[in-house]
Amino acid sequence: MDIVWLLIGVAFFAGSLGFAQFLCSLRAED
Amino acid sequence: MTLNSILQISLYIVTLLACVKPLGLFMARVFDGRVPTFGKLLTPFERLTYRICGIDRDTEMTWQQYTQAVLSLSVISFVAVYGTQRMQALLPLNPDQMSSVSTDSSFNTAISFVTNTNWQGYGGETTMSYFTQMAALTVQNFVSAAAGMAVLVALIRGFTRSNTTLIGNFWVDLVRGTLYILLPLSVLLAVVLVSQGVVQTFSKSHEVALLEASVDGEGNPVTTQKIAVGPAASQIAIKQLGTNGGGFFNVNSAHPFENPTPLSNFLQMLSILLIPAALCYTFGEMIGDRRHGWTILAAMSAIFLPLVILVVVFEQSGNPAIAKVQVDGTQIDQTVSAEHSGGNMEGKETRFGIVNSAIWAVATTAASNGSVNSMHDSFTPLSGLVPMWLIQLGEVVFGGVGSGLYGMLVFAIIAVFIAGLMVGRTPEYLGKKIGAFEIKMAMLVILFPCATVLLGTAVAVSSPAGQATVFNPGPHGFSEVLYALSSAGNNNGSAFAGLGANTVFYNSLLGIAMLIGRFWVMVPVLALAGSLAAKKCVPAGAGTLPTHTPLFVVLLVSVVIVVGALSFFPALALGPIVQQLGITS
Repeated sequence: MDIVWLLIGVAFFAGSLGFAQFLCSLRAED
Repeated sequence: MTLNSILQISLYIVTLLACVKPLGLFMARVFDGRVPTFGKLLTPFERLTYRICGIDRDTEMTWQQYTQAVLSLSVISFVAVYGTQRMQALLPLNPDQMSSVSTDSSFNTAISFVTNTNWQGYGGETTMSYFTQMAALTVQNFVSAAAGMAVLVALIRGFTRSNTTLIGNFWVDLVRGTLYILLPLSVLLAVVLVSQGVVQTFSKSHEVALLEASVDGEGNPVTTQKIAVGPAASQIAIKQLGTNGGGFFNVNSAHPFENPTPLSNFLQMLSILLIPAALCYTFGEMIGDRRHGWTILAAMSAIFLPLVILVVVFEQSGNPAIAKVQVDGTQIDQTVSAEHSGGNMEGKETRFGIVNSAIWAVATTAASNGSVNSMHDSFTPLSGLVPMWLIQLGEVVFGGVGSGLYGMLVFAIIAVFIAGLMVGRTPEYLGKKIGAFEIKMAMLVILFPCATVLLGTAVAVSSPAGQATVFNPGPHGFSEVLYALSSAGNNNGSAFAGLGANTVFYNSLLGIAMLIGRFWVMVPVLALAGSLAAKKCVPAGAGTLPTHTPLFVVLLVSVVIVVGALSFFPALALGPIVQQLGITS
């Protein structure tokens, strides 16, 4: 079970990096 | 309002404001790399940290690199805090032989402390070993607070720099904030708290004989009680200064070993707002115009002070439900007199009384602190609405260390945008033209926590798992759920007691809410910092809206309140407002 909870947390941080990349693309569009 | 109330509120505000300039100036110099003389004793430790960690302090970062650094620190912290809790039974400094923490609670707590929320679904003295409290939770109290300050400083650099992609070095900002600001203040406060009777020991809990024997729920005699102790003072100091709020003991700062005297109470209340208030001055100093810092502080104070007074008045007026009750044909006297404090004392410590409970409740929710010295659940409905609404405003009225001010600066950008729309000019703030990208980022900063709170509450109250542990039916139960999601989604950490939140459902839901409330706000703020730094500075012209005047304070306060009111009024109407109407009708 530990791995599931850890993966949820780590996945969020990875997703946040992706979110930052998305914001970069927004900036580029402007 | 009694004279006593007025004097106590005045003493608190005056002392707080007196600390703003010296501490704010000190912090500005620390973050500018001009450490004042008395801080230079720690410079060798700063250099040593860079050497050990391989940090080149002269290398600056783009906003993307800064974001990666924040997120990488946070993910490592999350795994470390989670692992420490799960292996607690095998680790040292566990004299009471606490077992390892459950998976879902470890997940929730790890996120809670990494995000500077310090929501606690567990009881500290019955769940966490001294090692976990010190090596995992207290360390995060420092690191998460310093990370918040670092992001703020990055945003300030965005305003002060032009035509660059660089906004500073996260690791340097993190080390400086921790080493020169949080550590010295915490050591000082911890020593003073120990002098007041806050415990600081590695001894195991004491088993003492009860003065009067009792029986448990099954009729068995109970003759002894366990008195929990531990290294509390060192954790409590940073818990307040870092606007963390996580208590060593379950009842937080209502516990006599965590907050024993009126003086310890005053110092802890002061510590809650100390750094967030002083950072306003730091902001003014770093941008080279202190008037802007005072303007932001004035806006925060203009919201804070009336709300303190409101809670004092509501609580001092007593509980409308009790006013209807008669004992032996006599109505219960809730008026203040020489013999008793009057008002609504349910859930409050007699050594603090109504005023200090009210100031604390407003300060802890204005800042994203979340510690409590009274139970907000026991406040009258309208008093309970105030802390809840303060959290829902986005933790920008003082707010968390760093995070509060960067949130307020985002509202300042919205305010100049609205003013710009009204007069048909391109908005500017501190010499930077505010364009579409900046407004998009500001919108994200405001919308993510709002959506998290409202959608999370809707999920909780409409699902069987969410309803199962709401122990108070009706509007009060709804308030408890709304408060929990507001607290998590805005990284406050305080709770309306009464909601059973240590379940897989709430540990998961609130954990995700805390992550979104912290990092999906931080990332747009850093993007904003990068975007602003890349712009050139334009000199103020005849058409520039002055952003250091009382008019701007009014505009900023209005924007904060209108956004908060529009977003949350319907939900508040279903909770505390309808409850108040119910008990007064």
